[in-house]
Amino acid sequence: MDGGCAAPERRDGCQAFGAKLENTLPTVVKSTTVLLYNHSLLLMSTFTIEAVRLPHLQDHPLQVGLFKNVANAQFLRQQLLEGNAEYEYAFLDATVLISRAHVFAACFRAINDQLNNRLKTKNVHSEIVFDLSPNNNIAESFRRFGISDTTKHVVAIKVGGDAAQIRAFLEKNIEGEPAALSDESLRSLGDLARIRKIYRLEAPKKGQAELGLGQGAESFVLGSLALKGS
Amino acid sequence: MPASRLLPTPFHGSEEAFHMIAQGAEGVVYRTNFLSSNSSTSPSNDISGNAALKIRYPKPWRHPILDRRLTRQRILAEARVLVKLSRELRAPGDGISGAVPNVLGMSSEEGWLATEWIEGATVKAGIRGWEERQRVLREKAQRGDDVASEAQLEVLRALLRRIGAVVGRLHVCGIVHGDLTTSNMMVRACKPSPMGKAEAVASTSDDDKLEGEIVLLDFGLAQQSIADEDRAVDLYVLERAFGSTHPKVMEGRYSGQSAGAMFDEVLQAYAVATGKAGKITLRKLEDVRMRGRKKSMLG
Ligand SMILES: Nc1ncnc2c1ncn2[C@@H]1O[C@H](COP(=O)(O)OP(=O)(O)O)[C@@H](O)[C@H]1O
Ligand SMILES: [Mg+2]
Repeated sequence: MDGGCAAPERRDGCQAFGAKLENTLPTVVKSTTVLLYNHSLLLMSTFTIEAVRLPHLQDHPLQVGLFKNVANAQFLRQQLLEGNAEYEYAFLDATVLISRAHVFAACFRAINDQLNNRLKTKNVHSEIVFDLSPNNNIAESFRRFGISDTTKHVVAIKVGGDAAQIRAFLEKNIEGEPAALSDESLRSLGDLARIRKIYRLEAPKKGQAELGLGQGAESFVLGSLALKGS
Repeated sequence: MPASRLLPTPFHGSEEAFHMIAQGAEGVVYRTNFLSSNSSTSPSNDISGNAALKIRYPKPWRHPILDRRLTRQRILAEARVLVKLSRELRAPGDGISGAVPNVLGMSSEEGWLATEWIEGATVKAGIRGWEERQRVLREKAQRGDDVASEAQLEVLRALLRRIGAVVGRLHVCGIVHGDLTTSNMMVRACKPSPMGKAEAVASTSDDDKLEGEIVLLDFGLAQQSIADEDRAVDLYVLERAFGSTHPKVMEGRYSGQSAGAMFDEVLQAYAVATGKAGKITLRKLEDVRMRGRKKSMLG
């Protein structure tokens, strides 16, 4: 956050009728100045961790951040393997994420399943990783969507907790370049071939131009996540 | 927040607004926000929300275990079909918009389904609006009959053709809808441009509202089927629904044509969209009509 300013204004232009969620943003909860002034560390930083309040889940605010070119993925993964409680975050491989809606659909489902006492994994954070996967194989979901030793770009998500503490923690412990989590940033980092393989999406035929994933793909992926397991 | 007490987790106690849109025998549809709060607001009534949330409440008259199972099945069936169609029911030119609302979330256990909010009006409301405009025009002109201008009729015929085409494409996808009525389809308040991108329709005439893309809703009774019989029944249900909801249109009162001529627009476009298989379905429709007539004669 530059100089204690609130979350950056990134509303995308005007919305056409029937425009898709892809381009829309959840309520950006502006972090209070009080919090920032209490943490001189944050005043100096150029952080873009965003507080997100998903509709209907006002009691479960998220802190989300994107880190590019992360140097210590191996260390982060090790902390998860050891069950280090301090590192109870959803660390996601940003290159397999399609859009903010994709990420938030998994968050919504994980929190909802927690509220209804039916988590399939250890906690709500591992559940977010699991919920991104189109199938019920937990180990595979962690391999595909979680952090591996070679993960370069990481999306970190924390459900609940103290916003200032979480910001400070992420800044201190993720060795990467913080960036805004936006549809554009995810699009530019996305590994289309992997995303298509994971979700069994159509690839352009030989000789056809690469036009990106297209709207049908995102719709289908969100729908598949909602249907999973039922 | 109306009826918030009845909402299932996580909507119970939500701080979001819920606008009741429809209350049917099977459930309630609310307009609300889902996954994101950045939503368009309907210019006419200031109601906003980017999602349609369908909630099926427990029915006290049914056995609780049976009720839960039925609720689960209906929500799931609808979500499955919508997800399948979100990918398959797309015309080549379709850009950002599909012919069914996208699924945003679902929980069959708690009995809810969230889909993308479709900006626009139901076909029922659209045709009623058209009829109302004809009435006003007729009064102004002090005409005795109902016959509408050729331009006005063409707007309606084009709408019927788009309905026939989308039902045809639906059947080609291997799905029959099961409840094709004019409240279960909408006209998007958006015109697809040649570039495949949807453009907002800011200030257009009322007739333009009938020119948007058709979106099919309410797949709670949909089934996977490629049987001619099922397809023909789908068309028959649609024909009956048109006849009872918009009798003057279907009787040819505005066109001066014979009864049936208007619905033929639907069937012709259906035939184009379905090709060979469609011809068999249309022949089957004759049988189904026949049976329907016999049944209604017997009472
Ligand atoms: N995705 C949507 N976008 C806009 N309106 C919708 C949407 N889904 C439903 N509606 C409105 O709610 C009404 C009832 O929805 P429907 O799915 O047909 O449920 P029901 O089983 O109660 O008939 C529709 O006729 C339409 O007016
Ligand atoms: Mg309906």
